[in-house]
Amino acid sequence: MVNLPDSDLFNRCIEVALKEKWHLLISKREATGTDSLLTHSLNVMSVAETLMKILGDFDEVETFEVLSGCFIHDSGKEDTEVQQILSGENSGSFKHKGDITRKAQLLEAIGVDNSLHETILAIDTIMERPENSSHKIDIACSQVPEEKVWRVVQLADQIVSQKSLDTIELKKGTLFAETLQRLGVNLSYHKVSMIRGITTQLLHNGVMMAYQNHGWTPALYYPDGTVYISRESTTIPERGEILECVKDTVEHYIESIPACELGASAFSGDIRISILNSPEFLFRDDDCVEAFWERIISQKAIRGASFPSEKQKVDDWTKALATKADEEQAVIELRYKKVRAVTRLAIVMKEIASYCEEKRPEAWGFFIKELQERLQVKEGIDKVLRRVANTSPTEQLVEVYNGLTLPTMLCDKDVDFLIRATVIHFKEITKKLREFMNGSIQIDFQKIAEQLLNDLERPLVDDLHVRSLETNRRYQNGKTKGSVCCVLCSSVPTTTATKPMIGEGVESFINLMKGGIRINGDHKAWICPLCEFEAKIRLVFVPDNKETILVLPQLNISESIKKKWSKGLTNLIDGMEALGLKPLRDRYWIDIIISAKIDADEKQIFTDIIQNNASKEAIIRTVSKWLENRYTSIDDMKPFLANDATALKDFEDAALHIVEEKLYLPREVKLEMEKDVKKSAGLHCSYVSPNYILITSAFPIAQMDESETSAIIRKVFIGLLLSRLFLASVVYPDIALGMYYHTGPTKGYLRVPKKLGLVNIYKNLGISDWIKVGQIDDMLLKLALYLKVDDLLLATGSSFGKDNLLNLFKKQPGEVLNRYLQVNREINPALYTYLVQANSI
Amino acid sequence: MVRPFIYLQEEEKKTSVEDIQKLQSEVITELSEYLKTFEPETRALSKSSIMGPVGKLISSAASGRFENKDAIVGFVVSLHNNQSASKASPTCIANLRNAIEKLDELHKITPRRYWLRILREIDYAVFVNGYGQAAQKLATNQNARSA
Repeated sequence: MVNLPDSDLFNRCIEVALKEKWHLLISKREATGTDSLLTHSLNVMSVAETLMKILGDFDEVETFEVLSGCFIHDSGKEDTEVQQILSGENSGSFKHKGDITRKAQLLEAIGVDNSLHETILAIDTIMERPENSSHKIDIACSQVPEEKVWRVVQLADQIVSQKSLDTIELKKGTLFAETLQRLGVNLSYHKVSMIRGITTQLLHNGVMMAYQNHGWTPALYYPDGTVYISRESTTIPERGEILECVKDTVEHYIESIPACELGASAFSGDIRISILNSPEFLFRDDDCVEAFWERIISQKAIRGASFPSEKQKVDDWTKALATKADEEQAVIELRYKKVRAVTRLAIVMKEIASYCEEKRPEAWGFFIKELQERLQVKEGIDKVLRRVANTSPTEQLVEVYNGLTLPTMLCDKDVDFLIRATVIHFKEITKKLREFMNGSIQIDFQKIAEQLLNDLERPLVDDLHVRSLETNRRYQNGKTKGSVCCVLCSSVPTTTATKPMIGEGVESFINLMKGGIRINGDHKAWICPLCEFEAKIRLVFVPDNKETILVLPQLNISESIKKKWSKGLTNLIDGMEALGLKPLRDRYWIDIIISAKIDADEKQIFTDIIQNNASKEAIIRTVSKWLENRYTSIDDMKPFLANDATALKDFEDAALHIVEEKLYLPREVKLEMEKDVKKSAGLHCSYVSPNYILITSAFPIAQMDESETSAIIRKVFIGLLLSRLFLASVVYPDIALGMYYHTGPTKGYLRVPKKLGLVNIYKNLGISDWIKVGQIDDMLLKLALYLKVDDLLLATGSSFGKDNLLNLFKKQPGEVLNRYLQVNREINPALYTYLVQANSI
Repeated sequence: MVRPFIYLQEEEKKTSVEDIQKLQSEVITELSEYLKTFEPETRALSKSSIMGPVGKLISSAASGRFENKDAIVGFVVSLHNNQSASKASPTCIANLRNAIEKLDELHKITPRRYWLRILREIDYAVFVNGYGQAAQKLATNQNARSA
């Protein structure tokens, strides 16, 4: 009778591998891309598990033997000489087989019963091709287990060892093909040509669904595709089936987004620049219309427009708004606020009506009729409304204001009431317009799915010649203005880009086009429908796409690492967001790194972060800000509290009491607060398909007033942190909404963002393109220590200015200490310790 | 007289970076050791106070006053005696002489264009060690007080 351990074998293997520092060892030759020994071993385990499920007929003991065999199969690579060969430091070949005593030790560490050691070691010996005569003798002497048992380990290792999907093609006569044949397993895969972000994740999921419908099981995920295995099926889904699955996936995804978020995202950015980004989202249902207008009135430009300061404008407005000769300035300013609020709301309403008119010409007449019925406006207001814009002359704005408010005497009310009353009418008109349009403004899922299929390289591929001709169609048809193809992905462009969408200024200069090209008038940067859709979806979750991070598998990932990713996202990132903490803020992580707690369980790390003083202050600040927005004064808030709170001084005091759980908000208020607070973190981690995680943030990683070069150092830290948390590779795409072309396997933990000012620093740190597998822990600790010093210097007013972080790398520790001493005239032992420790790494 | 057709010119021996780095770290250790024996009469929290006579030694080395080593030793000892609470002990002078000799050696093997950079590195490295000692003393005092 064999005793099998109760707890999860995968978790134990991760623990042991981290303890043995397998995450710092490479498993493949580094020059052509590698993953760590930890991820490789776990992936082999997972794929073997999937294979066993497909093949069936494996009892509990056999399953355990196979998984344990997978875990130790490459432990011979722990050897320093082997590592040197793999990293390219030394040349030559190496033996896969390691020391048997060491393997037995590892088996013991993961809790394998002694009675199973012999079989597991035999599996390990026999699964590799004989490397030399002693290996052959070992094989001959082993107590050979059943063929299916060791073949599963062999096949799992061969599948996981494929560095990219391009190399996975089966060639007759190879060991890979032979193993597949012996086990009676079929293999297939799908591949995409570029990684867009959320839309590509939806494409991955759609294709995966189509494969699953044909009896295939996903076994291994690459950033650009998925490997499937099957015992019976050999048929690959047809274009029509894939199209249907992709369409369903996209549709379900959009339907799963709450109406309030989807509707609100129809507007994004600054109301003075752009108004309606995603009309399809606004016209989805009435809830979306409500959410859209709520987002509009939360704009500062509407609630509190500031009176102009230029003399000419002051004169214009005074002349237009004063009712008597020496009218008080305060009265004029109040009237100005009202005019601005109403006219800006009217401009939004007009934009919606104009958009509807483009689709159905009668829509404008319908809108004016509704407006007249509700606000009793005068005949002829439509002519003024059609012309009105944010930059319209003062008289025109006043005319619109009077036209809308005078008939119902709304102008006599205060600003807040006026805004609310106007918006109630506009909401109803928008709803009526939605009914009037009768579903003609909505997302065309079929078209999106069709375009997404163009990104597929396998199992379908389009004729590239036809596609390039399509792309150039506008140019061939005598195009004179706008970019020839989509500035982001080079596909057929259909719409002009706006700043909230692509994150770049599009008025006069854009980084995405050739130097010297002037963008003005009708000459704009154009983007394709897919890039537009991607931008719109991202705007649903984050109001501004300031930072984009891709967390990619090192080579590939399997179910076990996928679980770790999900755990990290749910327990750590989501948890922090729920408290209003910004997970990409470095200060929450520095102490975790310095005290070497990064390997702890995600929940433990989360508790540690919350106990951190900086985090607590941030949570109190966020809650206090929320309370301030919700209630006009502290006295206004007190009656709504669930328990007695008469002694509260201000909102900050109230926030402190709430965070320390001495004061309880009513349940519905608390839920509302949690939702808002989570949103205020401004982060969205999209993990729709297992292939990669897309992180978008509304806030930059850089600190305020920090130079771009210092900000990149901070980005390197956050990138390394994410790669360490998820045991994955991290890439910062060059452009926030830009494509990522996964041209080959990753070559380490982080692809460092480049900047001219950092060339020497990277050189001194021994970093080239990637932070290599073996470098991560040292580099992370070094950066954490420097960031700690940076914080200390900033807190004591002895920083080197906006380039502080950069200077810490450039200057000698003595110079930093001297700077601190000059300003503070005191010895700081902590500063000394951090600096010396950072320099010794 | 027939002038020789082929000249034999001895190739100048190049100094390796490793040699310079090794000697540099030896100088830093020696100077830091010396600094341990220096206790200023009045302690101020500044770099020059922490560096004591070593600061002057480095600036004189930078200005090229390395013709007579004894003179330099005498100059630093005189500074030491003026600034320190106690006079320079024979061990302290021996440490100092040792450091100055090594510094002189370093001067000889270092290309002229790198000399000031090397000295700057020595200056700040000795300062870091001095700062460390001061931090250690502070911690000891605080511990004693709390005990």
